[in-house]
Amino acid sequence: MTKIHAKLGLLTAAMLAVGSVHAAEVRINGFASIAGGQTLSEGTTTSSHLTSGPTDLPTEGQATYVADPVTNGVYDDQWSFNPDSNYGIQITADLGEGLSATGQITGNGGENFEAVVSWAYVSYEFNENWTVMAGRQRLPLFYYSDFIDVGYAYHWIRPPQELVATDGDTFNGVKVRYSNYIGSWDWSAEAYYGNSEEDVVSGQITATIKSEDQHGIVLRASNSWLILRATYSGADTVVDLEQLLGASYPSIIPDGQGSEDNPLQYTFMGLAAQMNFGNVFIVSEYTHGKPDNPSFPTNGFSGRDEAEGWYVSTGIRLGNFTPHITYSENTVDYVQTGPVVTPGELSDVTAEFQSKREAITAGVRWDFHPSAALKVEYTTRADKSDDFYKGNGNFYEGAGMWGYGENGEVDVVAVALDVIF
Amino acid sequence: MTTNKMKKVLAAGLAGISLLASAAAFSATAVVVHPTNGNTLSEPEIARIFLGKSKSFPDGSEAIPVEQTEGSATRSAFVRTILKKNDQQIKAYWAQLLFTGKGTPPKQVGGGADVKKLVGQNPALIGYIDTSEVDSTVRVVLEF
Repeated sequence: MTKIHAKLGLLTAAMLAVGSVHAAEVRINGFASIAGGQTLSEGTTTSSHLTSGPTDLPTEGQATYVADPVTNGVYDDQWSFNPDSNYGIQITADLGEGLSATGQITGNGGENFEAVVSWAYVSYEFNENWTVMAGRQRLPLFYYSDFIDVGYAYHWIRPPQELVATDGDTFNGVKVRYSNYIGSWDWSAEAYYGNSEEDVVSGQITATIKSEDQHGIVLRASNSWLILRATYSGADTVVDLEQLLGASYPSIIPDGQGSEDNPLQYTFMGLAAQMNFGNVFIVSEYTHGKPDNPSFPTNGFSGRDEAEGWYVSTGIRLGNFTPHITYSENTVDYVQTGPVVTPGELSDVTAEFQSKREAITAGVRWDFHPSAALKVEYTTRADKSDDFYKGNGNFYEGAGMWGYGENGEVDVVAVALDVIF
Repeated sequence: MTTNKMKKVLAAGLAGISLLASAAAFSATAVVVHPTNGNTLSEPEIARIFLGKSKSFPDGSEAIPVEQTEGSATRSAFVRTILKKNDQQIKAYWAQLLFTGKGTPPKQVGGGADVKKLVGQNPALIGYIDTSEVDSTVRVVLEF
């Protein structure tokens, strides 16, 4: 909280400074989503020895559905208004001559609507083609990353959660954008560099994860009916090992992997396309994530975990109603080596296994007002992991991370009202 | 009454009805700039300016689009015909840009009379009004 207050103070100071030197034109905009939902399934397959994951999922009795692991948004069998609800207020001061300062404060239901500074940057437009943004910004990993909080801007209540999961969604740094057009095609290229720091709660322990040398590019091209997007991102991740494992960590991780001297390296890439054919639209996205060095050892195992996530979604705009359907899938292939104790001996084994989840979402968006949309959505998600993984949440992408009902399946229904102003 | 006279009355009446009908059904929209602004603009060029993709006229001078207020029929026609979107889509389009620092929607300045007045005073502005509102204070660059 102190950190947030400090940042808010800074932001206010920046805005005030701006106001005093120039008769800045200040613009206030905002958005809000009020969403409610619940699971419709019986039972639970959540790991009973859960030590990690997005939140404290119940160990028995309730089917759960994790709607947002980053903000701890979880539905269970009681109607809840928290997981998909959020708000945001944006203040932009236009200083003229292409210079502007922007702050965006958001709050999520999963985090008790506590105010967080999602964006706080200064933007300068050199000319029609070049723009530089410096400060706190969203990490533009996914097609929907930049405006993920603005429910009004897309057809779902929440974009598919089956894309490759990453730590954190914002960074502090610099982004340069070049945009231009050729014939009927608009295109742009963005490059960014920065770092981020995030506290991750894992059971009783809070560990600080720092991403340094966070860098990436985003290429985008669009014409009247097609939008194409490609992105690459990489980062060196450092975990406070002593905080996480105690002073004895060198005996647990001899090479100090994940420390400042030997950071974890991760590469992410994504491709997305959106097509419009009259009233029909199709949007699809593919993401891939892979560590460049063996992953952080968990439970004594270390290895390379390659993750893939994708979705395809289609809908039709019928007047003010937009019915839509989406299929999404995530797989993580683990190749891990670690010690296994069998009676009388201790030996290293290499295990290969896969965690997998699939989801189908069907819903309707109703634009009943120029500034508001009402959405109803039904999602069914299934754990299709290898048996070894089923119900074995912990650090993996299994049930403990995402919550399920009986037989590794969960159905969830949600209703949302999205407004912008 | 002679047959001729009757025919004439009938013809005049019909012409009147069809005129009224065409006025209602074919109320046209004009994209307008300041009379001293000599630029020629194609439909896609106008769309680029109103979608925030272009900030200048073909001659390189600054271009600032002004919109009619949401809910105006002229605005809906402009968004549908020139921007190829419906009212909700254009709102979602600007929401995506606005909250990600990529652009700000054009100012909504009021009705046709407000747009005409502002455009007539500032060579950088471009707006759209009903063709019936066009006079010498503005120059029409496109009519649809």
